[in-house]
Amino acid sequence: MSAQLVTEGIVKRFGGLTALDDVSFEIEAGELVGLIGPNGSGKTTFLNVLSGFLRPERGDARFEGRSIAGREPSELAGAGIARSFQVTKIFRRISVLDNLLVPGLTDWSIARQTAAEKGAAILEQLQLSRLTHEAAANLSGGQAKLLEFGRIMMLNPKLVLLDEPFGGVHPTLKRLMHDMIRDWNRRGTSIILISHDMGSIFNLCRRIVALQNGRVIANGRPEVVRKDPAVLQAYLGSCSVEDAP
Amino acid sequence: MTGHAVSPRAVLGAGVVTGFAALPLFGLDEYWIYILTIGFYYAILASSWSLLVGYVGRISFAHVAMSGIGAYTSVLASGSFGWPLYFSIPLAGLVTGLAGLAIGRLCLRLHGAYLGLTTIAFSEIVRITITAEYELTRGSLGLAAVGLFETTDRLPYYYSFLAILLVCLLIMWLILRSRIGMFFAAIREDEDAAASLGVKVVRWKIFAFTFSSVIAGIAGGFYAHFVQLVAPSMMSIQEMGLVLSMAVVGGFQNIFYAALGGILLEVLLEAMREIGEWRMTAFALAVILILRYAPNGLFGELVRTLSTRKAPA
Repeated sequence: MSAQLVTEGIVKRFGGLTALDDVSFEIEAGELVGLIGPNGSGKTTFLNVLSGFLRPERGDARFEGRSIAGREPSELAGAGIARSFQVTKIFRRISVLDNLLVPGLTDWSIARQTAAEKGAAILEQLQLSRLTHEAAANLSGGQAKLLEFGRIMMLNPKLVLLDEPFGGVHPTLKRLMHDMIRDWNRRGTSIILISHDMGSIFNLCRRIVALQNGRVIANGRPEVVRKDPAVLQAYLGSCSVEDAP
Repeated sequence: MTGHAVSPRAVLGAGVVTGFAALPLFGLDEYWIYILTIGFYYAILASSWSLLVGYVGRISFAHVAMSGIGAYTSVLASGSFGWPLYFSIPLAGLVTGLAGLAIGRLCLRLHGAYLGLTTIAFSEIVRITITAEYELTRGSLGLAAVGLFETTDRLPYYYSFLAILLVCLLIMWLILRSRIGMFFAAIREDEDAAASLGVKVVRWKIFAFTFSSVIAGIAGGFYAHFVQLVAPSMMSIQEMGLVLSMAVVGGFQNIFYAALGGILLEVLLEAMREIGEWRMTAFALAVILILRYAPNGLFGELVRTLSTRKAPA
């Protein structure tokens, strides 16, 4: 396999704070990588750089051989990079189906009817069919997270960046989300998963990257990373990474 | 159930249009025909402003300035350069479109108060420049314009402005029900989420600003050749406040309700002429109360109430 996404020496500063400090990272096509670290370690900032919401001060990021640093988020979505947000960002005043049609219709070659049929099939898979024409504002927190998943599915992405998808989600819905992540990955989609839910991270990911203070402190197989002294130190007082908050 | 049932809103809309078309046939006097014609002009401004504010979620206080640019463009092109109106009015749309594009590119990356303040500044720059310049614009005296028709009869103007309003509403409606309307809604709800899903946020915001400017410019062009005079006062902040009031009172989240708000307030403005400037105070108070208690506007609330009553228990 070849590296699908490569970052080299990414540096991102906010005023005097260095949020990302020389972050170099690779993900191969079809990999499912967990990104962990304490609060403020730079995980979300890294996702924001990869998805075009932040421009790094230094370093480069290449996706399928093309530089993506500083490109617009919409361009990157078109190139195959989709993301979810830590705080769910659904379009509250439009219907659940229309939430899916927005990404479905950004490709002008796709007819509305085709996008609507695809959206209906995705809602069926997400078990949200009965809410198809409901305003998205009426969804529960967990259903809103599922809707974000559905919007990502409409884009047929090559790389998915998930930022805390399991926060505040009921265990039943969480299992459904696990199944979907595995399903995407089986179909060849690469995934970078940020979560404080260590059970999910160790359950789903075959490789884990740990960040602290904007630097990569560990990168390897889950059984290795969970015993890494630097990672244990980062999660102060924890006996193991699974116990970390 | 057939798939071709006509919606109650479509029936209501057809009824309103038929009503306006039939009004002069029932002995409406010339004065009210004149007032309603101006009401149709304001309806175009209020609905095109609501497209930007209600559908894309971006505020602009430069809308009457765009109308003024359109009016001056057409009057100067037809008066000073002798162009026929079928060239000068489209030129008004073109020039305001370019102005909208320039302002859009310059300031639509700004948000909230910054965007609002920038559009006020632009609006005032245009108004003061036209007032200060005398050679071309005759300053605050304004410019006389040729009429759209050779007749002094108000009726051709009435039906022309009604037709222009309907065409503008139809074009806006077609855009809003297309995928572009979906992108507008996504941008209004959450720009970052829209961008992450492939929506070209800046492009569509600029398009919305430019398009609503073109509509305002064309409306201004026609208006100038109806009242046959253009003056900087048509671009004042007070005039912008009036258009804003019309959209909010009618319902700025729906172009049709905003248009009805434009006609309603223009009629009320005349009906309440006896109380002078207190009318504006009353309208301002109505805006505050409607924003607080009926954010869908009077017509939005009316339709909502009627729909609720008709719904089965």
